[in-house]
Amino acid sequence: MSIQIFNSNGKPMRMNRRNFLRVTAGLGGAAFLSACAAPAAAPAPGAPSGESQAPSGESQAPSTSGDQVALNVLWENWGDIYNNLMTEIGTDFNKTTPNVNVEWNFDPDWVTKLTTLIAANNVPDATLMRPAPLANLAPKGALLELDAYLKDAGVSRDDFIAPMYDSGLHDGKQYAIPGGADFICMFYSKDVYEAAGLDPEKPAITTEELLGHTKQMMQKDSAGDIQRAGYIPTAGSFVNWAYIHGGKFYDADSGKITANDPANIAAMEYLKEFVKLYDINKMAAFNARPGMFEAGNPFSTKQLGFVMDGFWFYEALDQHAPDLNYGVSWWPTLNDSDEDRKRYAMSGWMVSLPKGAPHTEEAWNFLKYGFIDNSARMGYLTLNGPCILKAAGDWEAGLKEKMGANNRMVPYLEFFSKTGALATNFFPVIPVQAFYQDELNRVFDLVMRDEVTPQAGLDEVTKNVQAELDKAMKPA
Amino acid sequence: MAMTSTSPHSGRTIRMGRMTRHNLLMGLLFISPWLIGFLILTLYPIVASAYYSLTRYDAISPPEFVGLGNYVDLFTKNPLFWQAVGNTVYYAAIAIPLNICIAIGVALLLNMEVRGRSIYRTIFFLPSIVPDIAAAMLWAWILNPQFGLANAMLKALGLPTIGWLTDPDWSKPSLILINAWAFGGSVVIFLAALQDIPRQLYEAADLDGANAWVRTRYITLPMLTPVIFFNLINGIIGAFQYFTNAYVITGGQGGPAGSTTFYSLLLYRNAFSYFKMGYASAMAWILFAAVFVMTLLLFKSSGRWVYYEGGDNN
Repeated sequence: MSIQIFNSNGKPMRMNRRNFLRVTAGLGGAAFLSACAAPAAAPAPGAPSGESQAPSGESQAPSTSGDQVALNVLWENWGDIYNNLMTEIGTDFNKTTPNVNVEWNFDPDWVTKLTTLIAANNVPDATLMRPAPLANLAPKGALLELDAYLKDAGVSRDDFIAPMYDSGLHDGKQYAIPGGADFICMFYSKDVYEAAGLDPEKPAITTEELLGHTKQMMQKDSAGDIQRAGYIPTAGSFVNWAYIHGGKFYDADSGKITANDPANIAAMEYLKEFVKLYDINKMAAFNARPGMFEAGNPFSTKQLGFVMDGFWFYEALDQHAPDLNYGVSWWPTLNDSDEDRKRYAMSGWMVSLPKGAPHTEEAWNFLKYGFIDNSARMGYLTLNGPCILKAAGDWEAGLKEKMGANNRMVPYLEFFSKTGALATNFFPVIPVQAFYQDELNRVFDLVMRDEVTPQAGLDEVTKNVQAELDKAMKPA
Repeated sequence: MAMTSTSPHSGRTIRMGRMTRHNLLMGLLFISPWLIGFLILTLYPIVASAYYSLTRYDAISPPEFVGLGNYVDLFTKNPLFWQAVGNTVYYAAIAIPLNICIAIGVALLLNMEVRGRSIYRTIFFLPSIVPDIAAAMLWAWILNPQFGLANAMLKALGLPTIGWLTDPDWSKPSLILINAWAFGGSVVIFLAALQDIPRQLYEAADLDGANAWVRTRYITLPMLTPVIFFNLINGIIGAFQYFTNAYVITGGQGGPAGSTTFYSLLLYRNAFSYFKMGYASAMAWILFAAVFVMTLLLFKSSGRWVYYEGGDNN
C-alpha cells in the first residue's frame, strides 16, 4: 500500500505504508504528549496561603495590560435566561476595558469542574463561589486573598451585607467578595386569607401567628388529602428558623458543632407543630406538586397560604398566577421587632479569584466593576440581591422599572432589601458544610416523621458532623 | 533483536519470524488508540482508585495515607453505609428476579404466532429506548400523589391513594416498578433465545402428549438458562450500580427518610459533594468486591442449573 501526498511545489510524493505509520504514530504521540502537558502559565496551588496578595505587581502572573485578554470566568449554570443576563455585565465591562473580553463558562456542576481545574493547574481567572467550596478551597491555598484588593478599592465590611461578607472569610482573611444575596421574605396569599376568614391585610408577623393562621387555613377532603394548607415547613428553611429562635450551629472559638443547641431544638419542635396538623405522607404528597416556579404550584392555585422565597418569585407568579392576590411581609419572628430580625440568616453567592490564574489583575477589575461598582445594576438585571448596602435604592428603582410600576410586587420590594440589611447570621463556613447541611436535612425528615425526637436527632447531627470536622481539621 | 514467545501447549520457547514480529508490531500499532485509551482512561483510574482508597484525598491536597482507615470507618462507624447497603440489596433482590420473570413472560407471549406480533414487539421494546432521565421524569409525574395517573386510577376504582415516591414504605417498590417497565432489552434477548430452541424438541414432546406447561417447564426454561444466567449477571451489576432514577427523582437527597439512599448515590455524594475521594474510592472497591464475589458464586453454581446445548453439563 502506498499513499500519495504532495510536496510544497505541488508535486506528488509517494509514502510507503511503513513511513505512513511512522508519521501517524509520531504525530499521534506528539499530540498526546502536548495534551497531557500542564499549562506553563499556571503555578501549582496547594501551598498554604501566606500574606495577603497585593493588588498589582505581585500577582501570580504578569499582567498583560495592553494585550487582548480573554478572561475565563467559571459560573454556575442558571439556565439560558439568567446566564444571558449575567453575560450583559461582562459585555458592559468589555466596553469599559476594550482589551479584556469576558468569556463565561456556565456549568451546573461548577464545583466539580473548579476542583478538577485546580487539581490540573488550569484554573479560571474568576469563579463563582459559595461558602461550602470556599471552606474547602481557602485552607488549601487555592484561592487568592482579596483583603488588599478590597482596601485598594476603598471598600470594607461596613459597605457589604455583613453575613455575605463574613461568608467569604476564612481564618480572618477574605477569599471571596459577596456577589448576590438571597433576600428571602414571606409571600402570603390574600386569597387564602380571605377564604379562611382571616384579614388579608394583617399577615402573620410572629411565629405564633403563623402557626395560628396555618391552623385556620387547613382544609382536607374526606380521604384526608390536603386541599388547602397554610405554611409547610421544609428542611431548607430550618436553618433560618433556628437562627430566628436564637440558635447557632457552630462555635468558632471552641471549634465545636452546636447543632443540638437548645434554641435549634426549640425551632425543630416549633416546625413539628405544623407537621402535626397534617399527616406527614399527605403533606409530602401535597408538596410533591409542581415546584414553585412551575404552573400548578399550590401557591399559584390558591391552595397554599405562605411561601418563604426571594423577590425573584414575582416572575413565576406573573407568569402562572396573574389573578392571584398576594402580599409580602417579613419572615415571622418571635416578637416582631427589628432586634429579632437581626437574627435572620443570609445566604447567596460570592466571587473568587483562584490562585495561579493568568489574568488576576483583569479579573479583579471585572469583579470590582460587576459586583461592587455596579452591584445594583447586576442585581436588578439578573434578579439577585445586591450585596453593597448603599446600592439598595438604585436596585429597587431598577427592579421597579424592570417589572413595571404596577406590578403586584412593587409595594413590597423594601422588605427584601431591609431583610438583607438587618441579617447578621450565616451558616458556618467550615470544611464539612455540605455534609452538615445534608445531615440536618436527613434528621429533619426523620424528626418530622416521628422516627426520632428533635433532641436525639440533633444530638446525632452534632456527633456525626463533629467527627467529620475533626477529621477534616486534622493536620496532614 | 529476536522476539520469542512461549507455546501454551508444550511450554517450549518459540522464536518469532521476521514476518510474525512485523505483524505483531503492526497489530499493536493499529490497536494503539484503543490500547492507549484503555491504559490511561480505564486501567490507570482503576489502579489509582485502589491506592486512593487507602488515603484521605480531596482531589486538591496531596493524598494522605490512612491504610485501611476508610474501610474500617465505612464498616464500623458509618450507619448511612449500612442503610445504603440495605436499600441496594432490597432493590436488587426484588428488581432482578422481577425483571427476568416479566421479560421471560412477555417473550413467551411475543413468541406465539399471533397477528401483529412485530407491532407488539416494537411496543414492548419502546420503553427501553427512552433515556433514563426522561423515564425518571415521566414516572415522577405518573406516580405524583396529587396529579399522577396511578393515583387517579386508584381513585377511580375506589381504592385509597398511595404516596408512591413520598412514603418511605412505597419509594423503593415504586423505583422497582419503574425499572421493571424498561424490560424490552431483556425481552429481545429472550426472544432470540426462544427462537433458537430446536423445533424437534417440541415435536417430540407433542408426540409424548406433553401439555403447554410441561413443554415450558422441561424444554423452554432449561433451554433459556444460559440467557437467564447472562441476564442475572448483568442485572446484578446494574442493580448494585443503581443511581440515575433515584438521583433524578429524589434530587440526590435519597429521601423520603433515607429510603432511596442507594449505594451509588452515597458514593457519589461522598465523592462530589464532600470531595472525600479516598472514602468514595473505598466504597467503589467494596462494591466491586461484592459484585465480583456474587458473580463468582453464580458462575460456580451455573454448572448445576445452566444448560448449554452441546456442553458437557446436564
